[in-house]
Amino acid sequence: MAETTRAENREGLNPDQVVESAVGNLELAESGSYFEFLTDAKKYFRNKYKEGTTWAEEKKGELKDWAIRESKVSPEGLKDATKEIAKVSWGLARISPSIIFKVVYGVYDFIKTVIKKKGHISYGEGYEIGKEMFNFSAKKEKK
Amino acid sequence: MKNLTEKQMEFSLRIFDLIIARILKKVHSTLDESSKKILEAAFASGTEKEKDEAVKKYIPNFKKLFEEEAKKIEEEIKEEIKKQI
Repeated sequence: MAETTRAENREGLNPDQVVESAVGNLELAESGSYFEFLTDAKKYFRNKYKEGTTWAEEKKGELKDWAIRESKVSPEGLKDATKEIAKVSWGLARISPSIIFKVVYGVYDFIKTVIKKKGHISYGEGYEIGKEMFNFSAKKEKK
Repeated sequence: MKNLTEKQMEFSLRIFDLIIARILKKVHSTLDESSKKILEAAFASGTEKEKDEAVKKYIPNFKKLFEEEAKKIEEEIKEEIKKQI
């Protein structure tokens, strides 16, 4: 994430604003499909999500303690123990925090890459930008 | 979650809401009228246990749907970003 900030300073782009706009556009597109029960449902799932985040943090500690106690445990054993703990209670949203986490990281990494690439565009990309700016195709057709 | 900034945490919740909205939309469109009413009633006035049970019954493949929608939304956000940069 720190690298994104450096990219932001270098190129004058604010990744947060870019994501804000991108997510906002998707939300706007989704707003047409409103169901009355959606607001209640979102509250329910959000609570599960928050529970999941806390739960994951708590279990991480428990797992670590357990692994220390059972010092002979293999990485596979630790993985199995994670699965067992997940089975203890219904893991509806328990998987989602890690998935969302990956999405957020993926999006910010993507911005970082695009910002970096902005200064090093390929011939093809340059042509496409030029085509948009100066309407190459239209000029060519006139001839 | 400790590594997310405040703004990123806010985005994570909004992305989460988007995923949930899409899952519910998808599931809702496949249910018959009586099942729709049960699911809606569970969320509107059901107890926590009733909500849990309704989700387990009507969205048994929640995890799979969640993963699929998360991937799609990530790609769509990237497409939106491409339009801006």
